[in-house]
Parts: sequence; structure tokens; C-alpha cells
Amino acid sequence: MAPTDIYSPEGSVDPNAAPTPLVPVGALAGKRIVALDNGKTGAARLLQAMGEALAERAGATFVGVHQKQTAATPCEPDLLERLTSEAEVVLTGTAD
Amino acid sequence: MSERFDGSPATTIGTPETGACEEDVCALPGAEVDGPAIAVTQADVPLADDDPEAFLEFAEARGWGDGLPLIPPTPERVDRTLESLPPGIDPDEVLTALPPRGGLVTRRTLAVNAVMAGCRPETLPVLTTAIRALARPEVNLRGVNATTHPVAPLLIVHGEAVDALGFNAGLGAFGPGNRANASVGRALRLVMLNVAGARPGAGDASTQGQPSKYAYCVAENATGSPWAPYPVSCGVDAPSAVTVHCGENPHNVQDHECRSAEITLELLASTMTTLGSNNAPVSSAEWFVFLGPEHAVLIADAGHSREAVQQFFFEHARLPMGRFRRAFEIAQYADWEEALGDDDPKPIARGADRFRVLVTGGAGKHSCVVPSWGMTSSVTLPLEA
Repeated sequence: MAPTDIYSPEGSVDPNAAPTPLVPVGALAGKRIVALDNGKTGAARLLQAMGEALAERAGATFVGVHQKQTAATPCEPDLLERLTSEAEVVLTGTAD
Repeated sequence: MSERFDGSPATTIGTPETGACEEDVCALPGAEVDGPAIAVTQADVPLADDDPEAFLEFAEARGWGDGLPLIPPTPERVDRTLESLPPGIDPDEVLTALPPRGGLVTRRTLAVNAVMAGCRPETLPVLTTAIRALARPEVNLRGVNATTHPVAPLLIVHGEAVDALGFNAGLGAFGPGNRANASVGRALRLVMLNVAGARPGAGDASTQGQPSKYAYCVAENATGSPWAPYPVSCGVDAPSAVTVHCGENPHNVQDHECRSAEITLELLASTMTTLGSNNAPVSSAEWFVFLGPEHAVLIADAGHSREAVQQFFFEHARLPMGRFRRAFEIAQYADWEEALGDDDPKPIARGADRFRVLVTGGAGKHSCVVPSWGMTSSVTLPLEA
């Protein structure tokens, strides 16, 4: 066949839902870091250790860990508000 | 520091998938944003060769599709699909954005994926309605697509559209062999992969996946059902409708002897009384019960309404509460369930309405049940272009 143009099946992306650009770890100096535990087994322990290590490496302060109701649903609005009032950086993860 | 869509500040560090980080500044795999919040309206991807094998290689190199052969979405093919819509419909209206990628959905984008999947043009409204349903908050599509569970959205077609569009509600309804079931089910998955970004390893963390992630579409057999069409039981009274339920593959239930309706119902209940499904720790989750027509008639002839069948499951699909407690430290139960003693029978779902009952398939003594992912609810909508 002759060359032709086709559509991409991906469409475009809503910029409001796009991933946030990443920053150098050094930019965290002096910031407060809090962890959001998704409720999966071992998540709190892992996030506690990661938060402490990150804070030490970046010259930041680790505030602690908060747990959301379930891993399967988004963070509750009131907890999100608490997280953002306690810290400038939220450390979290998905899955198990 | 930047702002998330909900206005909260957020900083992202590292790569969740790999943990690798070069010079402390990383990019998320597949996270590039390729344009503003406007729909793609132009065919702007050059294709040199539409030979089937060449196009499969072409698509694979771009991360498009499900690994199976695809039809190139040329403007002519996409236009043919869009021309099947009623007049006055804007093909580039943004209908929703699908997580986790935030891919914008327009009818044109759906038509592109429908063409690639092999859909007949007139089936586009089924796909469109299914996507509208999946975008409802109670479905929790972000969780459905991102979880380690193998969940896939099941698309169920009801009403006049079943025959008019050639869906199979009879023998072999779950497949294979029928183009409408196969291609529309596949198109839904292509939208999840291509638009929603639910690709294994990036937007889809499913530990093992499941075959229904290729195509998962069935039709209700209304003529073989002794009860009102399923959408009516959900308050949807329309000539045609679409239901989405996010769950596992079907689990077969055979009763060839059919000595009584109660025994058949007990076999169905016993198949749902399992601790391995997400329904066990999440009692708000739904079970979809697809009765074969012969089982359905047996049950109805014994005087059971759909509501009575649902109540039977609620009363009989039970295990001692102590077994749930032993199995799960993390669970989502109602307060009255939590108050049960270890020897008290706890229902596998917290209410009769959690058991969704409808008929599909043809001759034979088989039915099936479809467990849920858990933190999701089914949605039924009238068919809409």
C-alpha cells in the first residue's frame, strides 16, 4: 500500500492527571517528610525506614507515618489535609 | 514543588517500578505528557506498510495493543465507525479521562481502538456506554487498573442491542466464536491499555493477570430468563443497556442432576463460599451469578423470584465468622458482622443485593459465578451513543 497516516490509539493526556515532574533529592533539604501507609502488610515498617533514610540523606525531617483506610481507594480527604499540613513531602507507594 | 490536580502539594522522588535513580533526578516510565488537554483529532502517525505482520510489529514497537494482530486505524476506517453514529454527535467531545494515565476519551479515540479490535461500526455505542460506566466513581477504576489483583472489567450487554448488534447470549456466550462479543470486549481492553495506560508493569500491577484481560464481554439471555431483564432490577428501564462489573474470570458451577431448585442453589452458594476471593475480606463486594437458562427455569418453576434467589444466597453462602478471622487481619466488614461470634455463620456478602442474578448461555446444566475485585461496584447504564 501507499504510505498513509493513521490515528494513535492513545489519544492525549489530561495534564491535571499527569505525573508530577521529579525533583533532585537535594531540593528536600529543610523540608518535612511524612509517609502515607496504604494499609498493606509491612508497608508502615518499610515506609518508616525509607522516610528516615531519605530524611537523613536529604537533610530533611521525617515526621512519621499515617495509614489510610484501605489500599484500594484514594486517600481520605481529611487525612490528605492532615498530611499536607504536617509536611511538604509525602512519601507513599502502591501495591503490596 | 508542584501542585497536584486536587490542589495539594506533591513531590515525587525516584521510580516506584525500579527503584533506580540516576543523579537523583528520574523520570517515571511512560510518564511523558504529550500534549495539552485537547483531544486528538488528526491521524498523524505515518504508517509505511499496512501488511498485517508489519503493522503488528509497528504497534508492538509503540507499546500499542494487547499482543494480538490489529487492524490499522486509518482515517477511512475510523470515519466509517463515526458515520454510524446518529447525526449531531460531536466525535471529539471529551467524555472522561481514564486513570491511571489520565487518557482523554472521545468517541474518535474509542473508534480508533474499536477499529483496531475488529469491531463493526454500529457497536461503538456499546463501547462508549461501557466507558461511561467505568468512569463512574463507584467503579474505582484507578484501583481496578492498578491493583495486583487480576481484575478485569466485564461488559454485559442487555436488551434489543443484543440481537440487533449480533451479540451472543446463547451457547458459548462467554466465548469464543462471536465477533461482537470478542471484538467489543477486546476494544474495551485496548482502551484500558492504550488510553487508561493499564499496561502490565506500569499502570497495571496484576501479579498474574487473567485471560479475561484480553476480552471480557457477554450478553444477557433475556428470552431464556424467567425473570425481568437484569437492568430493570437495577432501576434501568431502557430498550438496551450495558453493565460493567470488575471481577475475576467466571467460575463454573455444574449441576447435571437438577434434583431440586434448592440443591442447585446450594451448589451455587457453595461455589461462592470461598476464602480465596476478594469477596471474603470485603463483604460489600458483589457476586455476579450467571445462571444457564435450564438452571434458571428449574429455579423459577419452583417458585423462586430473582429476589428470592438473592436472599437464598445471602442466607446460605456462609462460613463461621472464626474462619474469616483466622484468614484475615485486614478486612472490610459491617459492624454487625464484626460483632458475630466465631461460631456464628457470616454471609460471604453483607446483603442480598450484593448477589446479582441474571441469565446467559444456552442448553446444558452449567451456570457460573464471577467474584469481584472488592472495592468496586457494578454500574448499569442505558445504551447511549
